[in-house]
Amino acid sequence: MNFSLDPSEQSRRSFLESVAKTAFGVSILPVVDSMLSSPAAAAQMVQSGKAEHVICLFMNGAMSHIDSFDPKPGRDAGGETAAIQTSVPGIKIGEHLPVLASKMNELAIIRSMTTETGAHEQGRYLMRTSQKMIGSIRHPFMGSWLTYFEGKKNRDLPGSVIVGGGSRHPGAGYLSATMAPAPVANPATGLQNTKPPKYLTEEHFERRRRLIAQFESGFRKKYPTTEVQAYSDYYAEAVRLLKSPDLEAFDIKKETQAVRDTYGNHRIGQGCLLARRLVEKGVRFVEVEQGGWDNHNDLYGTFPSKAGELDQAIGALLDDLKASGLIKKTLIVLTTEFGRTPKINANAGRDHHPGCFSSFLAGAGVSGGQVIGSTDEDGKTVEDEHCYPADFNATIAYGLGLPLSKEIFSPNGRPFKVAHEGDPFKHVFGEA
Amino acid sequence: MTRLATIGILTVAFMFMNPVEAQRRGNAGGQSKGKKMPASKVPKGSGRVDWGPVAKVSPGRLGSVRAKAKQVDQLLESGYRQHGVTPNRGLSDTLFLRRVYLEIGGRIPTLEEISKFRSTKNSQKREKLIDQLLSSTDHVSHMYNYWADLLRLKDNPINNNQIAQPYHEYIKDSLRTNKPYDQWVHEMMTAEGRIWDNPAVGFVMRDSNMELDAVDNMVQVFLGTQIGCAQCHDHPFDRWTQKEYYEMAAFWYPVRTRANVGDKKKFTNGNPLQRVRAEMKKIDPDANTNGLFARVVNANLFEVWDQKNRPLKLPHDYQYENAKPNQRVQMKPIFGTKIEVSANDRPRDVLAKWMTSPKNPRFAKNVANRMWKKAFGVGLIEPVDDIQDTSDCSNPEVLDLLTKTLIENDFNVRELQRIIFNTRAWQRESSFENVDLSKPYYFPGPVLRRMTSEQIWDSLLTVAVYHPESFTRPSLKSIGELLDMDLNSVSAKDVQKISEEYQEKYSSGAERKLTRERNYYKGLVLARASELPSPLPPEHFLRQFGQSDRELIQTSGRDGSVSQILTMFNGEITHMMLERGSLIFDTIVQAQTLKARTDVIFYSILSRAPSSGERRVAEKEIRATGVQGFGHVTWALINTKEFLFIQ
Repeated sequence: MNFSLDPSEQSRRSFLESVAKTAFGVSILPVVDSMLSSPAAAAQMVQSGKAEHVICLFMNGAMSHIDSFDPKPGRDAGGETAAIQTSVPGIKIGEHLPVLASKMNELAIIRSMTTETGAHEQGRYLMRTSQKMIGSIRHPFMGSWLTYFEGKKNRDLPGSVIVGGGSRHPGAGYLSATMAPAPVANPATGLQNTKPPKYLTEEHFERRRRLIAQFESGFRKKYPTTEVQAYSDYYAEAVRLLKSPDLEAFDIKKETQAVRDTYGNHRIGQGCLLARRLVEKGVRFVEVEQGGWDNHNDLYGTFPSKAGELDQAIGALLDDLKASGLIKKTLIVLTTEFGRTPKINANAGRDHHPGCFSSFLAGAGVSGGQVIGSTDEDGKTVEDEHCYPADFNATIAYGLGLPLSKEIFSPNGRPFKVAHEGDPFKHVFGEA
Repeated sequence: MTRLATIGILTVAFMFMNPVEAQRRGNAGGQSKGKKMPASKVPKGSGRVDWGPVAKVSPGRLGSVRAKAKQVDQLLESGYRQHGVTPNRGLSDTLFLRRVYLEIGGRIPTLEEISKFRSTKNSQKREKLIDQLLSSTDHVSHMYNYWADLLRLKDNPINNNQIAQPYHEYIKDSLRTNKPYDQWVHEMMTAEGRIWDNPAVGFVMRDSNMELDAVDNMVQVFLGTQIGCAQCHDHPFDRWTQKEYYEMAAFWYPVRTRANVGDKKKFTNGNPLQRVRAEMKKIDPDANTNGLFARVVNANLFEVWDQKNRPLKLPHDYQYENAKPNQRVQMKPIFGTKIEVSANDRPRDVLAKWMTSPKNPRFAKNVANRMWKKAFGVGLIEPVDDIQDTSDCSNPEVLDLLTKTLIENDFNVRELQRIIFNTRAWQRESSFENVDLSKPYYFPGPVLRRMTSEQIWDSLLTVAVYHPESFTRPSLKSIGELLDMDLNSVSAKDVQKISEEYQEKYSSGAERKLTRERNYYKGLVLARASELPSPLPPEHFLRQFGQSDRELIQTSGRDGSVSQILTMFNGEITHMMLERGSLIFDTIVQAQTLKARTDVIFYSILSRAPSSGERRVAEKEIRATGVQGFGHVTWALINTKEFLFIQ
């Protein structure tokens, strides 16, 4: 790798500069401003960006493609799941997703997803970052890339939020902590501990904050590591958030019970509702996780109800976004870490199958009503249009108008691209 | 000071909050002396821990520990010279004290412990403290958290019928008695029976019905190698082939974790649950035979046994030249040569013997590397769970020495840790430049790390609660006395009785009731992290700060987040500290002068005295805001990064 051969030396320098700026406590906005105004950005391959937000539904545990978006009726591999007709002639999906079937004209399903690993953690990492998980570096997920390139829309709220997040999410990776997602463990309770105890007046809270700064100045000077700095950034962000009137975006109880019921009284439903509220207030990227898809045992004992929850939640989300018009600016994406075996195992479950799986995109710019790629008769291997995690991320990035070919340098000087070497599936957006 | 002196201690007792709030709570700060205060809501603990005695490190071994620690240092120093590394400065007593409590005991020291160490003049006081801590219940608790993360301990791993807590208690016992590591692993790999008869079966049960994954997991935990990729195809980045994976897994394939209810010889009276259900319906057609009624029967069906003749076959779509699809594989371990498995052998006994043998090139080395990483923050080989033949080791001589010593000491892991903690290298300041993990680290000292979630939680309890260690989890050791049934003869009436008694004594509801009475504060169970249910809900403090959900091996994290900061700002535990009845509150009140009170706050939270500048700031604050200032200073120190990071 030769840094001096191309304009990337320039971007390397500007990256290091921006790292230096954030590392010395300059707030995020000037950095982002400088990036937006930099002519380097314009020189890169820039697409007509359509989306400004992403709601990414991540199915933790590896959702069976055969029982969801790629049914195989009449084959042993198809298991107990029947295929149902969708609103688009000629396209059928699994019977457990009737609402999505009725909205097929809004979805672009990719049935030719394929990945390299059948290990959960590695698979998720690859899906989220387009990169292999290795010990020596951590790569940013798409939400942090979006904040990096586009800045925050709402200065007071986090650039991205992960709902239901488990630990070990790659988060901002090597980017600054100001671009890290904020985790919300439980959508029903929202962001916790946002109210100070009643006895603590605003004035006293400020006194306390000043004291922190005074008591830790020595420590911060002695240990200027990114980890320590990251905590300072989180402090600043937490304080901004606490003072913001938009804080209530995190509280789904502000919605009527009827609205909450429409999304469903379960984690994925409440998660989608929270995602909608956050996007309305300018959060760029919301990832909502739903667990419980690792169906090694008794798949048909749990899958239908899980899928039913998902179906209800996405249905309500799409309807609301359409009603408010936000759908024109918001990409809705569903994915998982890999697929499940065509063969039903001895425990009436399906095991890990990285060979193929399904995802979908909807919303901003997406040309709905299409199925991209296909698998063989048993859902075992991809037959055409292989879509690797990097391609999938490139497709999202393309939809957002992010510069795919731009090289960004990590603090240790290694060049990276937003979706690695992935190629966007432009036909998702109806382009050739 | 003058202003403070005029405020009586009684007043102080209510006023870390503002006076209006204190009044609202009916505490009326500054009331006449005679009035009785309502009892504090902060639970205290008895000061006793109802575990058995913790095995002590041997005083007789001190000489050899010193010698080995010195050898390690010499090897590291030659590494420094070779790679042009300047070692960090030696750690002051103050920083040593805090680090040693956190890294061996899993929490910061109490005021008493600090003052005891400070007043000891003995030149061997560091060695003595290391020994004392390694022999403490704190250490058992801390190591349990470590292993819980590695072994993915869950109270109900597969479903609610499966009870795993006796296994978790067995792990605590193994750590408490410092059971030789090879013996411990061997016991877990070979255990059979129901969990209350032999709690070590919990290890096999954790991966119930997932024989192939179980092998992948145990290789990662005990050998530091990942062969999982080879479950489906030849490993792309390491040398394992799919065939080798299957040969290794063949040892484990005969292990079963559930009784076969279709076995007519064993279940002479038919399917036990069906039988008692039918019987119950005859007695009372409306009786509920689901829920606990079924669960107590099903709990008896979880048992570990070995099925004779359960050969493993390659998958039907096996794609390589070296064997055919569906072909039976011979048992063969992933390292070393083939071992004979005779017809009388239980295959997993053979595997366990091979695994835990001193001749296994990775077994001892893996745990030595893991313990090193635990102490220094970086392993001698990284990543610790993906060791390959070609992996670089930053100082192979050190790892060899530790490995050899561990084997010579009959796998006494605590003695190994004792050597590590006694090295000069470990007692150096932590590295405070960004450590680049893509390059080898030569250990000029440990690396600066944020505390683990458990260390933060246990440290907050240490500051706030008198005896958090005595709130131990109710034991399920005797659960077998109630639950164990002869499934052929048990009557429906018996099952009903058992389920009622289970509900009353052992259910999660019963546990909640007990902890509510004992150690509850505004929705928080104030017990050490090792004494809480697992996994905790995602919104729990421990999960927020990175405790894993116990689904995957060692997935705990140390990253920050906005929600952590909010919890530190506004969470219950931070504010409990500012209430009467909390340890730090009471101690501040008991101190006589402003200077002494400021010292109490700094020592309790940061384990050190305030600098003169900090003292000025703190005293100024207290003078300006009166006694509420104590609350401000306490809260602010808890919220510093110095509190969260281990220097």
